[in-house]
Amino acid sequence: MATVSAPAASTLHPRAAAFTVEARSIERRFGLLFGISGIALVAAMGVLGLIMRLTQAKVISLSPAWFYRLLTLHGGGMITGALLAAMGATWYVVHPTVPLRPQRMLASYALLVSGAVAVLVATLIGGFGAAWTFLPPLPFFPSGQWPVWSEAVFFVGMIAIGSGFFVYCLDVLEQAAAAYGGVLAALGWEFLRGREQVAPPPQVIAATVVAIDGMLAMAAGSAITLGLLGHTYDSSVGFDPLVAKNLVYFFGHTIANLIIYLAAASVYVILPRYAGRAYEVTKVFVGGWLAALVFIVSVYSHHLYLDFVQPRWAEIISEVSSYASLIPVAVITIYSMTMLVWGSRYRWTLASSLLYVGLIGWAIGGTGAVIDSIIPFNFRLHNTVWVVAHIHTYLMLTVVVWILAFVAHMLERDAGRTSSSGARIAMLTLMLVGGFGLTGTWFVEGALGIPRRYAIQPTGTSAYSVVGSIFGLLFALGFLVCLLQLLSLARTAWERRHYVQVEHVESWTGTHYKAREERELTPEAPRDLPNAIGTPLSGGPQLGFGLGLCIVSLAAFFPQVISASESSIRYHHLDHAGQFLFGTALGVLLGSAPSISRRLGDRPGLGVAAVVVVPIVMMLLMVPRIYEPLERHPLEHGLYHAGMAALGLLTGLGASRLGVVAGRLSAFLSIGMALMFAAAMKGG
Amino acid sequence: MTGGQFFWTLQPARVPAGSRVRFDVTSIDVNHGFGLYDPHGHLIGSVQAMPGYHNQLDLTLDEPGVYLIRCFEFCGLSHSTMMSSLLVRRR
Ligand code: HEM
Ligand SMILES: [Cu+2]
Repeated sequence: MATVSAPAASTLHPRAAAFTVEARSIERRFGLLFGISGIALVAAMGVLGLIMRLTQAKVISLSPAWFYRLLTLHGGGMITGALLAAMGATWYVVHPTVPLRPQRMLASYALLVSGAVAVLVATLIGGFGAAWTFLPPLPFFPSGQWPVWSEAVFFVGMIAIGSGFFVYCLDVLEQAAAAYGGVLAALGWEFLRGREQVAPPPQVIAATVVAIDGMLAMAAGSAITLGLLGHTYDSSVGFDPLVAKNLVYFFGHTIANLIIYLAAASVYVILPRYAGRAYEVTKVFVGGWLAALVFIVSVYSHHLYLDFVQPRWAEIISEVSSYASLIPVAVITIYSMTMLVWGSRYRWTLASSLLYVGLIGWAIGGTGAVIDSIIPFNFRLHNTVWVVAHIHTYLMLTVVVWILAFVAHMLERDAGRTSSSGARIAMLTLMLVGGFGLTGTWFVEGALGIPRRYAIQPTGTSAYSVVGSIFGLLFALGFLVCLLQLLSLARTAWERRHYVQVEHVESWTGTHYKAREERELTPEAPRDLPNAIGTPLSGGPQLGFGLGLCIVSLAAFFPQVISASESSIRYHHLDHAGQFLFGTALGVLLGSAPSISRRLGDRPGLGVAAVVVVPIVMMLLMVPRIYEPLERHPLEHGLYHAGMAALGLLTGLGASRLGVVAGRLSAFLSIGMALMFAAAMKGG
Repeated sequence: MTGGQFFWTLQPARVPAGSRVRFDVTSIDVNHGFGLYDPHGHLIGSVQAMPGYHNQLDLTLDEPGVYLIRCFEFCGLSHSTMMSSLLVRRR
């Protein structure tokens, strides 16, 4: 009896073999875990979206209290779901070149999922409904609709989501810097300046940009959210509404913005596999991404100051530039991808058609943004449902489509086949008509000046909501058709993973027949993870700088400074932040000293835990109701200050285990969090 | 012009047509958004109402009629019914 294994069918472009790596099982597993969890969350939240639109259409009646609970959950859940899937996609394409750590990815998953659960509990059980952007002080003005505990649970959820993304970003930054010899090299800067001949792959550049901006925004988010959490425990914690607003928006807008960049990172790798041409990184590409790196952050930092008395023009400038910041990357991506597909005999499968449609969605959404930013009376659209139209064009018609494409890509590769073209066409038609129809109704309503977040829309406009609901249903139907195709691909993939089709030849009669045989799974060879290279400070001048910082920040312990700071809560907090700064600087300095560093050894896991958890503890200790009882006695007060320094020391030692770039950035951010926390506080 | 959950108070509530009006906008509790529609229902201006801060919006109101005011920043349960109006009198 002779046995012939059937050749593996490929769904990719025939030329793709030259540059496509075989996915390892660790990549597939994480990709599927994040992709499927994300899609499941998006699907569930979509139902809530429909319920809200039908309520606005007055087809179903839902009390405003429930409308706002669902709005809060829909917004927070969609962002978390889309983020999860996009993180998985990027991990899947970055891991083959940059060995990201599975433990970190699991920790990140656990944090994000528990955050989503907390938001679910706070809204559905607790009744919290201050919107996922929780603009302070709204969470504390519940109009009798939600108890204090639901506020606390919601904030804990947001902190968990932010910390989960922070851990992910930290790992990407640390490992990319280690793999490419520094963060500037990983960003393509050395290539741009002509110091290096070969650029890092596109997904690495994109992921590094996202990682840096993600860490900054998550640190700001943690600082303000911890302050708000403190308020639920001690209502004497006051905050400046303007600073709080900027920190909250910096967190919320950035996390929402970064999702599309993160998803794009995976498209640079996956789409070329269907065009049969590898993606070439050009200097324009690197320049565009570096511009995005700076834009994303600078947009909000100038917002922070100009917002002060809120002149109209300042707000318009920042709004225009926040749209404009998306443009370089969008144009570069859309143009280069179109060129890649052009004349390539693009291979149409479920995944590749979704990738293509997402690109079109981005082009259309981007054009809308450009039109929007050149309209002089742009303010007329501010906070109208026009903004909702924007959000959904980006998230629904690009990000969601791409994350479906990502999961389809994995399943198709495993299944060795794609879905039927009829199902694909039905799906795309429904999603495009439904999606653009739904956003279209918002665009029109926005132009008419209808405000967003209205449970009850102005009289005479419910027809738009009716039409919008119908289009929304069509979109949902298309989404469902996609899920069915994914399910069927998953079944084939499952069978192929466990059984092989083998062709047998009957030795007597000579006839061929096929049979399934159990597949022998080949164990995977573990890969060595390179550990973070170097320490945050090295060499005389740098260690000297660390020492200098320690000495200067010792000032925070001088009795004169302490008593002067007691004039207000804000200054006293700044003093505590100074003590934390001292500890952190000392920790980084000690951890960087070669002899101590050797003795501490490689402890990346503990390092991350320290830089994430310890600053949170530090900020919680700054809640007056917790520290005030301690401050009555000079001894206890002294111990409290020593405790601040000790927490800093732990953070600093932790940061010193994370390598040069990630170590420096996380130490810097933990100090930044203490300062932001202090700055946002008011009272005394 | 002061916003609160869920009402607007304005002083004065009527002005003569053609006058240049400065809206000095603030809030006594959460963030609100002051949005003004002309008598035809077109949005003609909006500004943030933030507790502890005063924001100014200058508009010339030529046309007599009732100018509707709506809230443009989500402020809680009755955000969508938080309305008021300004009467512009014929000179
Ligand atoms: C069938 C699909 C969907 C429908 C019918 C829908 C419906 C809605 C509705 C009615 C609102 C409130 C609009 C308002 O302010 O008046 C909303 C807000 C929002 N939606 Fe969706 N949505 C859908 C899909 C999505 C998707 C796929 C995402 C993201 C991945 C998303 C993210 C958001 C966000 C972030 C908000 C803003 C929440 C807020 O204002 O606090 N939606 N959606
Ligand atoms: Cu309001």
